[in-house]
Amino acid sequence: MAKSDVKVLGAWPSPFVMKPRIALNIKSVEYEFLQEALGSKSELLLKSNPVHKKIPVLIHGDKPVCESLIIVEYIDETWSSAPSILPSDPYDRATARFWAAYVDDKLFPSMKEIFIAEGVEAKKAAIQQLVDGLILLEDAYVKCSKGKPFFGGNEIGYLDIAFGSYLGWLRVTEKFNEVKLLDEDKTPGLAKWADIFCADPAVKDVMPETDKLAEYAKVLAKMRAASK
Amino acid sequence: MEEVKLHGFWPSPFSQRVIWALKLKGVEYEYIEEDITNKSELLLKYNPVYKKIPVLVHGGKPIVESLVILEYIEETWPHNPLLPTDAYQKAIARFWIQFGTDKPCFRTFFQASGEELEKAAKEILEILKILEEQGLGDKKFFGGDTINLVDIAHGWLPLWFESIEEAVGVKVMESTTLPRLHAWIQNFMEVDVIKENLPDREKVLVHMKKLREKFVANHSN
Repeated sequence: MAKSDVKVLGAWPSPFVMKPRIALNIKSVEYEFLQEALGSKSELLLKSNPVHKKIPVLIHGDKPVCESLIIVEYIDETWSSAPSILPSDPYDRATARFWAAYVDDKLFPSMKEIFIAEGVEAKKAAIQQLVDGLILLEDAYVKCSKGKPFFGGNEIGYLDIAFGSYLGWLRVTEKFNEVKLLDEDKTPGLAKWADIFCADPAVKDVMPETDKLAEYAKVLAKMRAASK
Repeated sequence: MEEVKLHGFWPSPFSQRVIWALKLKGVEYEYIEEDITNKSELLLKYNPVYKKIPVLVHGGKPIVESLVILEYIEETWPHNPLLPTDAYQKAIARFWIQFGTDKPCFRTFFQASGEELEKAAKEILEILKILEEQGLGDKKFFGGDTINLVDIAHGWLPLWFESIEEAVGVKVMESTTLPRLHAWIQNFMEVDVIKENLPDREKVLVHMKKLREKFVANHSN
């Protein structure tokens, strides 16, 4: 398949954009990465995602697919040769989808809460909420991985992608708040998994370095403060 | 075949979605009514993260979150498909299934008053306009000639959202402002499986009114 047949509209800092990129890498599908500039939306983006006007968008031929996890499922179904991204058993698929939704609906918002929280007490409470969520995920990791390195088993799967894509921002949160969120005491499985995930060939070139992301976060915070 | 059980709550549109899917697939199941004000040990065991209904239990294994349950049903009983088989069409269907589900304006509409309520009503109207124009278009159902999971996901708009509108005293879905959605509601409610599997409208209205009273009392505190 020619490279220009598959495009991903996105931006390097976005954990959502990372998900389809990891999925395409797993499938060894070449794609063109078209980056949106911060603060503006291209014509192509507005045309491809008129409803939400958000990244990521996968454009396959001339067909746009939106919403990061929907894109991952599309990639798995379209390039259906191994390795598989979703588990094959319907119950395992339901489990993976449940936790992926949990990460999006609960975990990522509690990470954002930490950035927004003002004052020591509020920050502490927000951090505790995130840690409580991570402990739940540790348990899910133990159950899903069954002793293998990833949620998906021997290879990266749907839930690895759904959760792992937030690791860059998780590490920035740790850096800014001088706290360890994934640690060997509370979340030993996830602490090891995080390193293995980030080092995986499908991930390492699309996971931004923590320092670069931290600089970007500072730029974002300045922009937010300026617009208040 | 392994046992199928559904833990639900009679006025909940979320447990109704699961009932519709199971009925469309012709799957036999045992329905267990949960009192959500007094949750059973079993419910808390099956859904420790959210402690909510619906819970589908298949061969003793629980599946939670209604949209996850719908996909599970589709994959476990693939006859009479409720999602397109083409990957691209499936992605579009999933997009519209999720559309609107993460918007706080629906909850705000149910709970707020005054300006906050007005703002929520406007947001809901915008969302429903997009749903009918771009999601539904000229089709009879989101699924085309027959209903599919997208129709089921938005199946709470008649009866349930209508009851909420009545309880709140603000009508958002008018046939003049949302003509396609209005037509879709008429058609949807005529589908046999839907028509034969609805809670009592009056009882749902009473339930929504009670909730509304509670919300307004708490909201103003």
